Amino acid sequence: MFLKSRRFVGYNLVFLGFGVFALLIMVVTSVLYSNRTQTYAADALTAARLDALILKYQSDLVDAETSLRGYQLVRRDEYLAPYRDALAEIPADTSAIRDNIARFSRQEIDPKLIDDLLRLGETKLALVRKNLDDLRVGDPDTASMMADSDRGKAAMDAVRAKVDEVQQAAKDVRRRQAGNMREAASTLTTLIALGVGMIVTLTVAAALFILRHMRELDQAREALVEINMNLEERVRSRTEGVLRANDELQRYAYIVSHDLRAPLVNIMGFVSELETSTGILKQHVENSGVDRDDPALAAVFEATDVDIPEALGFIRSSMNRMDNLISEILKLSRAGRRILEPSPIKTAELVQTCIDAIRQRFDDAGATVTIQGALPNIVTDRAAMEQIFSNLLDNAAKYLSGGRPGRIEVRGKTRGGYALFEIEDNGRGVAPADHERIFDLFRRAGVQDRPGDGIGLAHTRAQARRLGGDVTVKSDGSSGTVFTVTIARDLGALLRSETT
Amino acid sequence: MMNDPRPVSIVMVEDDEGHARLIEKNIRRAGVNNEILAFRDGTSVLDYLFGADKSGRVSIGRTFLVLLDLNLPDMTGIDILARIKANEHTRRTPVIVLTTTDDQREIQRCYDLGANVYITKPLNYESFANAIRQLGLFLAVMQVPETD
Repeated sequence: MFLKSRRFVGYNLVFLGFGVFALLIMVVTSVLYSNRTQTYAADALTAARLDALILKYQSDLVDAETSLRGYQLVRRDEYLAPYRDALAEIPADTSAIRDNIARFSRQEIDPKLIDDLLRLGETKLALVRKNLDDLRVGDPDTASMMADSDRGKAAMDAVRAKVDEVQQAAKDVRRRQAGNMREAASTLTTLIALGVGMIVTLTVAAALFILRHMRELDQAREALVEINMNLEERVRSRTEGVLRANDELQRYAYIVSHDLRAPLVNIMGFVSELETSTGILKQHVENSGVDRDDPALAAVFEATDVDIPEALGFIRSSMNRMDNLISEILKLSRAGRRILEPSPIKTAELVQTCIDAIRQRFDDAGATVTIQGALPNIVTDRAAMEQIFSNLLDNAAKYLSGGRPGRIEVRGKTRGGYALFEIEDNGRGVAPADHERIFDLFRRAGVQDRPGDGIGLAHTRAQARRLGGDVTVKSDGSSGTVFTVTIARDLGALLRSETT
Repeated sequence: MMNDPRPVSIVMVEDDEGHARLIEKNIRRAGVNNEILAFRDGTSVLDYLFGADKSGRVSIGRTFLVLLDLNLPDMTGIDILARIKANEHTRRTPVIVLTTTDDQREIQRCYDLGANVYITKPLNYESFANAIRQLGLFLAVMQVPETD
């Protein structure tokens, strides 16, 4: 049971650990992938901006060239305004492009490509500036103008080509980053799905495990209930057995005492008849005036005066003894047939009453009797309880040891549905071999120097058993005796459970 | 009973021969000289009371009382009591239950069935002899109806 619950806690901790682990993985990968996605997005944005910046750069170059062409044709200074604007813009464009390149998370676009473009731009711009200077200085000849124009066109074409190249590269970057983002998103989705799946699995597993554990607990509880019921059943059947045995014994004692009595009455009756007849005979012999000293008649007088009365006397005394024993059995069986009346008993008061009733015997023997601590109160038959305690206390007073002042203690406690009382004395004790014998009817133990018929303890045990308990003895045979009386705490409940 | 013109007989049902003899002796000592018919079991006394046809007509004209022990070898005295009190011819016959049992339920049952007197045999012989002698004195003044 204990092991099982430890295993249960262990498994649940493992489940919990896996769950936390899965959650952590999910959180970490989410953060990781969202960072990565941000980077991808930023790079894509940078690429788009680069695209725009390059176009502006190109358009500024074109503006500068166009402005030069216009000035070439009309030679008016205001046509140079776009050129000047472009001239002012281009350094800003250049630095913006370089800044933008630096923004990439890694080298997405070959810086050489940008450098080439900017160099080509510079070349173009230098050409434009040179042409313009030439124009201002004087009218260049057509041939040189043609040559200049060709160079300018070639430079511009080179710029355009490079711009296309850069644009293509930027577009590639955007496409790549978009792909990366899609990939990251799908990976994240997969990971989250896996995590959720894992958590769901763990939850289901834990739930199943808990259910199984609860089932096991239920089964264990049912088993326990069953064991308890079996135990109760066993206790009940054993109690019933004891009570039935006791009942049978009582019935047996009653029948025996009755059936033994009938012939006894005959023997006693005819002994009386014999006595009467002997008296008549004796009278007749004496009145007949025969000589008492006649040796021939000595035997007759011997018989009427001595032998017959002696024989009848022995028969009578033996009969009386037997009659006594049978009376005791009858008394025992009557006590056994008496209907028990359970009532609440203040045990300490009851014991004190029993002690007071035989106080004189204790005083005569110089013995002290004490009740140690509180005695548990019980519901039982008062008369039977009184007889049990009176018998045991009487026994204690009767069999004190001559060598030491008598000390008798009464103690009590409860154990389960029973009250246990101990009556301890420091008397002569009971030899271990006699521990069961002393409870037998008409059996006594030790030195036979006290009056008694061997009834008391048999009676006490019979009473205690009727009250749902028993009497046992502990003694080393010399230093004292402890009688333990066990009695059902609630005789009423016991009797009710018997009848059901 | 003694002065009655018709002789009253005592039907004694007692399985213990010694008891029967002691009862008879003590009744005689009380001065009762009536005929005592002793039966040792239930069957023979039922035959005497009710005859072979079990009708009880054999008892017509008899004047008797029954001294009944309850513990018999072949049946209980209670059965005999019930039969006597149920039969139209014998129902007025006095029945004195004389037995060892002092169980209250048994005593009640006997009176319920119509027993006239219930006496518990004292288990001590002196008391026993004394009780029987007193019963004898009682029988001496008792009136017994003729069976019809």
